[in-house]
Amino acid sequence: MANLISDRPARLQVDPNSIADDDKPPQTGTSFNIWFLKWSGGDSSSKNYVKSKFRLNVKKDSGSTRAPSNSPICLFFARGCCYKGPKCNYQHRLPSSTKHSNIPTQDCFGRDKTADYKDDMDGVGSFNRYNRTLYVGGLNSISNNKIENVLTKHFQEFGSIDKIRVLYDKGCAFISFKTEEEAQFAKEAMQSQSLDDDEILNIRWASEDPNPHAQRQEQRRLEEKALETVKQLLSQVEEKENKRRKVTVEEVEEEYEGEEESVKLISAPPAALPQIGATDPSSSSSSSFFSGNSLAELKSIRRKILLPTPSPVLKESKVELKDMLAYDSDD
Amino acid sequence: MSSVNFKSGEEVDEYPDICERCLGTDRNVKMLKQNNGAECKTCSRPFNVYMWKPSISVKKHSKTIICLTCARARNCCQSCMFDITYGIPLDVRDAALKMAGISNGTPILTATKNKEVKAIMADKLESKFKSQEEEDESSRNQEAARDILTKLSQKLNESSPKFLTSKSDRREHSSANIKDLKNVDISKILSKLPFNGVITPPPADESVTSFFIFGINDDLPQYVINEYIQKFGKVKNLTIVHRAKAGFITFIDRKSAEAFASEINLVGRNKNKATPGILVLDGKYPTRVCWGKPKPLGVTKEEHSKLSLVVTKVLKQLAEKDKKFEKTSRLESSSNSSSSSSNGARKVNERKSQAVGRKAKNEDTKYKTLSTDFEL
Repeated sequence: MANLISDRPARLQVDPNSIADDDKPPQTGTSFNIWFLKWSGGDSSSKNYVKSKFRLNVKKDSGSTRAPSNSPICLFFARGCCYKGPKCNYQHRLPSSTKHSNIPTQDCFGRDKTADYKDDMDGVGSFNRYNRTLYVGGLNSISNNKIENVLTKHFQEFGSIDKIRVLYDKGCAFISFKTEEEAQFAKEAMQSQSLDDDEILNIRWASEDPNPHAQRQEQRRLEEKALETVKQLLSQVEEKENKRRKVTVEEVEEEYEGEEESVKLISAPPAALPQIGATDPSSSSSSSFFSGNSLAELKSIRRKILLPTPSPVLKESKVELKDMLAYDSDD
Repeated sequence: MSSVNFKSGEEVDEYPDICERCLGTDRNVKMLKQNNGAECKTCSRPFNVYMWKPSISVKKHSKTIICLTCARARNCCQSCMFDITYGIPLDVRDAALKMAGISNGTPILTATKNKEVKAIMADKLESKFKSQEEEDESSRNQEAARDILTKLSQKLNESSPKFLTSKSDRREHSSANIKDLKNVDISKILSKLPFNGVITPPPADESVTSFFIFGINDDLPQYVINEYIQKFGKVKNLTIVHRAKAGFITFIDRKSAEAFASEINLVGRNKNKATPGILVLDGKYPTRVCWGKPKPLGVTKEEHSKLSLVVTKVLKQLAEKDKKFEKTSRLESSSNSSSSSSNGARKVNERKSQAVGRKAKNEDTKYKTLSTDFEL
């Protein structure tokens, strides 16, 4: 299936001309809170959830875009309303089939996470906790013996469901996914959507499970993962050491060359760079083990050569900083 | 247009802690520095922000998001917050260190929720780091990192079984709840559940396309079940209640349901066809499956946990039944085997003669571990 998708250009989900300029939800309060995209004030008794006008159809909509393979996923694609289609600069596919390197400080849409969750547990989420679980509210109108089945049907479109736990008396459920990326995607894709009937889902991040049994289980999972990674690291270290042993004969010569190189540096700094910063892109994870080493090298070389730095560089850089400020305020 | 060069930053002593992965693969890295440009995301103090592009093709700038002090305290990259020496997530690293019994530097920054306390702690840490800063600490760090790794591996080899045993946990959990559950009445639910069902022959009623699956442990993910049953045909309903250790699978048509049943029958972990079939998912999650129409599995937490207790009990009984059945069948077959080497006697023959078909033996041992697994 993955091949099929990659061949086909992404479908245009929404006609750009049909989008209204004002995307505020219908007015239910006195003032609009731009941070929460909600009306505040006024009568709070009337629930101001509005059903989303669009919905992602994974099979139909996903496809190739202009985005490079390591780019994040398009947020509007997940919401079902990307008006750029094949011209989009972000990927139009599920998180499981992307190569996007998952940096823990960003979500699968490339948005920066924060240290803590928002007060309402909505938003991008926290980088301090690996959270695979979503809270799903607004299930009151579904009959009890159908809930699990309906949730499974709708949510497994976006990822592999690990566990579903329904609180029948409260009309909400907790859905765990295999990975955090899938949870992130499902959260955006199913926000304010309805299932088989006309209920409107309200999806948030789940806070930590207070059940001690579940906590222990999570702990065990983490330990298993840690074991695995440590084993992997060890094998990498061994590989590296084996490689090193092969080179030992030439070491004296290499050192000599290194010194010469650093002398050259003064006259032509860029030429010397590959010597130091040269990293194998393919083995980026393995080389990171020695990153401290190479950084130290960089540091020491910088000290050696460039201590008497000319000040003009500084002045010029300040002009740049203004641009940067402008960039920041955009965020 | 020029920017602060990566290597010619005006301050000699400050240098961002950024891992190689974040710096990218380009030969030259140009960085912009903004003094006190943003609030550190963990300690909320202002810090010097660095921005750069990891490669030309990437449109978005990478930037440091936490201050140098916080990054040093947790030994992570200032941008991606992976561990800077190992390149692994922090929670994984911390778990590994904890398992090896190595205390991890400074947990204060994560322990408190109060922002001001965090800022004060970070200030103290910073002065501590400054006083500590001696010549060439990074090479020592490198050695220390390798030390930790080897230590870790030794410890792991010694004690790995301890981490992976989970049965005691389960027992604790169930025994703690028994008292509260005495008043819960689930006889109505139980009476409708087909614990005595079978996997073969299929029910006469052609409209039944569903299975009752029970003995689902907490650590069996739903997607494992889903992936397995997708092979046999389209799934109409999948209801798994982990708390109750039970669930229902409904196929869209009778044909795929029968294919599923015959597959379980063929795999044949249990020779006794009077009990529900044993299905081992992913080679490690044993469950029991039999034909049965979807029925409610209870609504409250108490009902679920009581039902799970019943399920474990039933599993035990079933395992015993299977054992008995096997014994009797063995006796029967051994009496036959003296005269002829029929199919039924294969197993006994194998045991008597040392020339054993390896495959069959493996299955046998697997089955044994299975039955012990069920006695939770």
